[in-house]
Amino acid sequence: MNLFSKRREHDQLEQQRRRLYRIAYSWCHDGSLAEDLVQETLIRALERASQLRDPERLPAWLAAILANCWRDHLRRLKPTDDIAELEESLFDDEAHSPERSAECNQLVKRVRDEIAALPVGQRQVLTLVDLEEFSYADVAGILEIPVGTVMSRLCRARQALKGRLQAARERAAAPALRSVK
Amino acid sequence: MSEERSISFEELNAFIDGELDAGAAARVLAAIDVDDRLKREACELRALRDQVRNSYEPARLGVGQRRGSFSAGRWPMALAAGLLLMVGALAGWQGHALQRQGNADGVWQRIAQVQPQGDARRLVLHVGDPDRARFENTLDEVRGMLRAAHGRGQAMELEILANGTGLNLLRAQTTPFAERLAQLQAEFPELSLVACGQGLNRLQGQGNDIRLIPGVVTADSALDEIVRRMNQGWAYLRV
Repeated sequence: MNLFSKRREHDQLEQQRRRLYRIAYSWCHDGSLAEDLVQETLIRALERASQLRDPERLPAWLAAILANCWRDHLRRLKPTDDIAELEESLFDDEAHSPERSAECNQLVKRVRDEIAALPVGQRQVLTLVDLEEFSYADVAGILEIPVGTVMSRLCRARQALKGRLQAARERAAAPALRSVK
Repeated sequence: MSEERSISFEELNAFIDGELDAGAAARVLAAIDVDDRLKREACELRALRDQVRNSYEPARLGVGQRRGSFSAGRWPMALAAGLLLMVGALAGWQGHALQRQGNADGVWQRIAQVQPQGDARRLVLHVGDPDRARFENTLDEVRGMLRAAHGRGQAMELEILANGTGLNLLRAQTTPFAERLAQLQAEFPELSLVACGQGLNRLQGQGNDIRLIPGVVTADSALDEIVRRMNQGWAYLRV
């Protein structure tokens, strides 16, 4: 093994870790929890490494393990059979914590808040497609749902997000318009 | 505005995500070309996607900078280093198992190959949930294994590693096993108890009392510890 391959292996793992953290964070909006989810994902990956036949599938394979870890976490909070039915109130406090407000600028915070307010199933699909650029088929495999469900959740998520951001923009612009008058 | 859409919203989404085949994509493009509303919607969808992406840029997330003592950036280095060292060490005496490996993408396959080769006389038992009955069984097994090893005059090392909600089994305030673990450790000095520091940090952040029972040491993270032990040739088992 030469230095180049060592470097590439390290870079590969680091890249996967960062991807997983970004996905986990976009789902839970809690840095500590995201770190725990990533750790659990990589431990499970170590345990199940023999299941990965095609290295090209590594990102989707890790994302699927992460999705299972996230599902397990949610079920511990609120037992249910369908992740899409989970109450969003579980995360309201996290989504609007002072820590988050301080770390984000206004627009980023607004987008994250609105994504955090989406139903879990829609949020997962949206972030896997938009952040990680997984194909619809990959997302279906990661979340163990039909491709048609991926498409419908994605459409609903984008429509809702678009509407909410538009409404937020109008709310923000309203005082300025009044002052012009 | 009352006219029926020629392209559904789902198709438009699939188009901007590059999910359509050439024929379908050409049809959407042709429709966009003659429909201003559709054109605007496509632009808005692209802008929305960019907004989502920009809101979770790694630099904005502060990856690796969120924590003091147990930062997110430390353990992947350990993971990578651990895997490389583990593979390197094993190559010396199990080179045949690695013959088919040659590129960087094979690292995960190599883990799969070396993992079962751990020395069962040095064993990490990973506890990730607070199931009392299972932990009680585990402690019975631990005592049985260590006694049997003593009986055979064999050296054996065992480590119980807890993370996540499994930490409750090692926390002074929450464990019902303090006395039992103390007895086991007194009888078998080769038994070590290790808690995941990352998990403890999180519990502390939530306002929990994270004091541990005597004899428990803290690792940076459970993953760090697993990789470190595997790197040393230990076997790993989740219980």
